[in-house]
Amino acid sequence: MTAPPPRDVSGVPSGARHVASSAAPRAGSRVAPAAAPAVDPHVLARARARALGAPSIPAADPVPPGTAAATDGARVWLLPVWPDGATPALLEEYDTAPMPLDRAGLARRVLAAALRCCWRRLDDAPWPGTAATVADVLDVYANMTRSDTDLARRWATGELRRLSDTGWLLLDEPSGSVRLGPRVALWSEGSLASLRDLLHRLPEPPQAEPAQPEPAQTEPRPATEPSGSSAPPNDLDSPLSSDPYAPSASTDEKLAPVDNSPAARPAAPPVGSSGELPGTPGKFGQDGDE
Amino acid sequence: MSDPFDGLLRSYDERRRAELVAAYMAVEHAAEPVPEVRFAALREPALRRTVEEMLALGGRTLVRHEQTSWTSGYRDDVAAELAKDPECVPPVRERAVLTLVLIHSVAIPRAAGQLADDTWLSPHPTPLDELRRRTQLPVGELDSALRRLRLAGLVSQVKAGADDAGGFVPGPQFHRLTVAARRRLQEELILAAGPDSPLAAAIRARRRGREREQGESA
Repeated sequence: MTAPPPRDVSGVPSGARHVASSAAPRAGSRVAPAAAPAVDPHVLARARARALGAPSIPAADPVPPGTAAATDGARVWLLPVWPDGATPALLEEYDTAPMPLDRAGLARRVLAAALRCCWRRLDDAPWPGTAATVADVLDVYANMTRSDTDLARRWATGELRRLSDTGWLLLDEPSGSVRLGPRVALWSEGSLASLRDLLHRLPEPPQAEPAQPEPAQTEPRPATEPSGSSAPPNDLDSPLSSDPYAPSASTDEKLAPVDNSPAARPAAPPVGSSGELPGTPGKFGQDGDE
Repeated sequence: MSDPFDGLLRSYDERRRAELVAAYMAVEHAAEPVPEVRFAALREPALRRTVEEMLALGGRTLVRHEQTSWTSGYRDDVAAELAKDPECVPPVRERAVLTLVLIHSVAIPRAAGQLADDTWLSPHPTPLDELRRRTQLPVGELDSALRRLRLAGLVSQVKAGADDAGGFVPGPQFHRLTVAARRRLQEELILAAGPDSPLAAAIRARRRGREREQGESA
């Protein structure tokens, strides 16, 4: 396919899983004789889909067997298939920690705000949902957390970017629009009830024309062009020790290094390679990031 | 759509089947290697073989950690194939930042005898300043590289403590390297950190020899 478009970095996260090969791309294959492409192409296709996160292919292309597909009509995103309908939430039953997530509470709240704006018909499935403006998502977020500061918006913007990197959202920064990411298609119908309840309780998005497919054209609300919802703001969410939320945020938001204790994060955060629900309802909308 | 796992799981009773699924999900999604005492399907060799087969459907394999814990990683042949695919390889900036973290957090402490030979996890953080200085990347690019490396679990941030400045260490994904992958990485690091060292010369010679062998056998 083409060179990775700027927003399509979803591959990087889990792609990095084959760290050995990426760190040593020229190490050569040790076992396989050069002539024999021994790897089953279907196996390789599934491995590749995992390595890339949730890669998208044109809707006309064949979907490799053993992967699930989420489509919005134009493109198809390849998603993992788990045995017997299990999800990574199963880890909770075994007191086993999923991949740690920085600022998990912030991630949940921002995802909730995006769900509120992009999942307008709650009786339907969340995927594919509708596009919303980043401005609306930030407004809902500000109303949820009752803290409408420039700084809060900047952190939320950084979080949108992270959620986009990991396939939970599709963020188009140049046009200032956001959609739900293909990973939400992994949520099973049975697990959506509490999420629907929760979303009903969140502040409503500003009433523009919700059905408008290209919200990018509407001019952004002044308040939402905080230094950089669309600028090259790589510094907004810099993972530096100056993170203003980390100290006061809820306990599961600690910047845990490798050895986070299993009990520390009961409700697995919605990022990384897992396909879980974004945490328990109570975790949304709390004022943990004052 | 048919469940690709069903062929492997069909012959097991409900309880075994649930144990296999739990073990599979645990090694694939837990941040750390999981102890086999907690997962029957990892404890019993016959079941463990089935977990291995489930993983193989996606090009993955079991990786043992400290005798009694398990995680999963890409099979070496699959990793080699993926590495040939430019889309699957992280961009050069991320690799550069990761390499610096490995040099500072692993290679240097290991050379000083502060770190065991076969681990890629490290308690010695690479300070952000060091990364700023050595990568020669604009701050914005360094930060976004670090962001993606952290999301990938390839680096973790260590907060500043009482007597150190904090920084970045290799992330939990480094548990997932196979034995062969760990050795390759070790060799690459020697080539990167001491290209003129005798050890590097030996590695290059061995690789040339291997390539010749493969050339002849092909």
